[in-house]
Amino acid sequence: MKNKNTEKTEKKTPRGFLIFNIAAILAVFAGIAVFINTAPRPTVSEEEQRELAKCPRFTVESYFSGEFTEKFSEYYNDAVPMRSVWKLIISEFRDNLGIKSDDGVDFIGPLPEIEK
Amino acid sequence: MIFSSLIFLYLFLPICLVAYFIFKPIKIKNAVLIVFSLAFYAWDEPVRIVFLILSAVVNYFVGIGIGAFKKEKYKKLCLIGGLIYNIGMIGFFKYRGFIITNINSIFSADIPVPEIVQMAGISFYTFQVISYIVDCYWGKVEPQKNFFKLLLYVCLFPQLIAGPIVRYQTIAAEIDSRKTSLEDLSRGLTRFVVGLSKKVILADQLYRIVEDFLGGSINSLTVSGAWYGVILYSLYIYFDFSGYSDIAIGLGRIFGFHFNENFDHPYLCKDITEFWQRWHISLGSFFRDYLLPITFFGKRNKYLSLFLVWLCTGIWHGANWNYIIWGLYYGMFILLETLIGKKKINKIPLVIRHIYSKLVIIIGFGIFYFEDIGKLGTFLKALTPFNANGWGGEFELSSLCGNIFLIAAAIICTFPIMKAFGKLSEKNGTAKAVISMSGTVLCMGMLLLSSILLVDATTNAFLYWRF
Repeated sequence: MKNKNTEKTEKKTPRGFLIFNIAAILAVFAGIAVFINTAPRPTVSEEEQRELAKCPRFTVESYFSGEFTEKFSEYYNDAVPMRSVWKLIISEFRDNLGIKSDDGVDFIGPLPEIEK
Repeated sequence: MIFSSLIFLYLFLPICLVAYFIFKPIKIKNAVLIVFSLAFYAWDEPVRIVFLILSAVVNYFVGIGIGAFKKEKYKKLCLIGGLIYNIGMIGFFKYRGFIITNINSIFSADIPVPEIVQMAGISFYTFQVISYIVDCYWGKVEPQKNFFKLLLYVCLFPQLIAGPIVRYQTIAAEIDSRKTSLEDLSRGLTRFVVGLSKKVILADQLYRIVEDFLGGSINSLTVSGAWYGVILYSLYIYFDFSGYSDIAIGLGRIFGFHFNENFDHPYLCKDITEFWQRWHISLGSFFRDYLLPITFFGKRNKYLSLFLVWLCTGIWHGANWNYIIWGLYYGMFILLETLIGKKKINKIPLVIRHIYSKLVIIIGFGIFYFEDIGKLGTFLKALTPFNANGWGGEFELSSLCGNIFLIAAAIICTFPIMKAFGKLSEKNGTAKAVISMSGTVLCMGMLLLSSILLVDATTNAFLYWRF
């Protein structure tokens, strides 16, 4: 049973294009998944001068307390392969969200209050 | 676990997809979805699934009871029992802190707020099961006799944490029999990537600016700063909520489910009544279908029923006074528009209707943002010329220029651009091919960019997570 709203608004797409679209998106998905799960993970961030999160040891207690999943999520997100490259791209992306002022200094938000 | 995280995208989801598509029998596919949905819900706090399963068990027996009893009186008793249980669970898990804090402040008491597990998404799945038992009572659906099928409806992970509120009748047939066609997979994947991009590329980046203006101390906020911050917050909240709905609808479609739309370009509305027909449609229709017909105050007193609906809409969004004010604020405008009448409203020039509706919505999201009533007062004053900090301009202009492409993209994306491209491609075969291919390439780029931005994501939780 298909949703009536979906049926009404959608038009049939050629099969060839559907396959191309699925293959293209899945290729990016699979590529990133393979890379992120198999490439060596860094242990230290030189730019941030800190140790990255470590993979936690699984125990039944740590699982049921939620500690294992929390630390594993942190490790998975923090110790990403080629982390410094992605951080650089993110920084570039954010720098190019708009037009920069000539002096290179940007004020974002109201200045904090100075207590007298 | 949240959708906009690397662990969900590149560990949980691939394993789930492989496990789901490797098996052909629908029973095993359903079992795979139940296992992964429970694992998804248990990820942050495993104890949660006990209450989730309990909810499915209780509502399963309520449904069976309604179906089994012949006498209306007993059917009604089953329904009332189910409603008390469901509303009691929301009250206990979501509103205990709010209720106890208010009792403490009114009666100068010192009742401690019990520290218990956070039940993410309880408002969503509880409303789903309420719709199920009420529909069983009204005879709109047959009570589900197979517990695991009902459990799948309750815990299905695409819509478990943040909706949309899916009615049982929408997916009842698909739980029994479904197939993911090439069309479903293609559109599901595209929708998923669009939703993820709305959340990560637009919403999360907008929120960084919003926090610069509305976060922290707002005593130095200028008039233009207050307006700028709240306008961006209105954009942020739309992309956050609708992005999540897109991900849910897209994921559902990949698994062969067809959920209803939850957002329909709400900022195109011309009045507040229309806004609520386009914003969080599944919640609005829930109240319209299940609360409004119940004549608590007699058939004549429709205004009291309207008040109750908007009070509930406000409370549903959060356990705080600002959400109640927010709900009643909208109720007031809906009432005003009802009293004036659609015909007279339609005679008002379109530009004025657009300005009116956008002003109401933007100020409304200001109320939504500030949980601290004191800060809310300061903010509302900051929007007016009575603001002692003046009109401002320099910092706001600097921030606007520094983020102009992001803000422009966000504004453009509030319009139905996909539909516009669709219409354009209808007329010309070459245009259709070019637009379709460009769409795919754009999706690939957006997925890649979203994934990179997630490396740095520290505070990217969906707003609806706390519901």
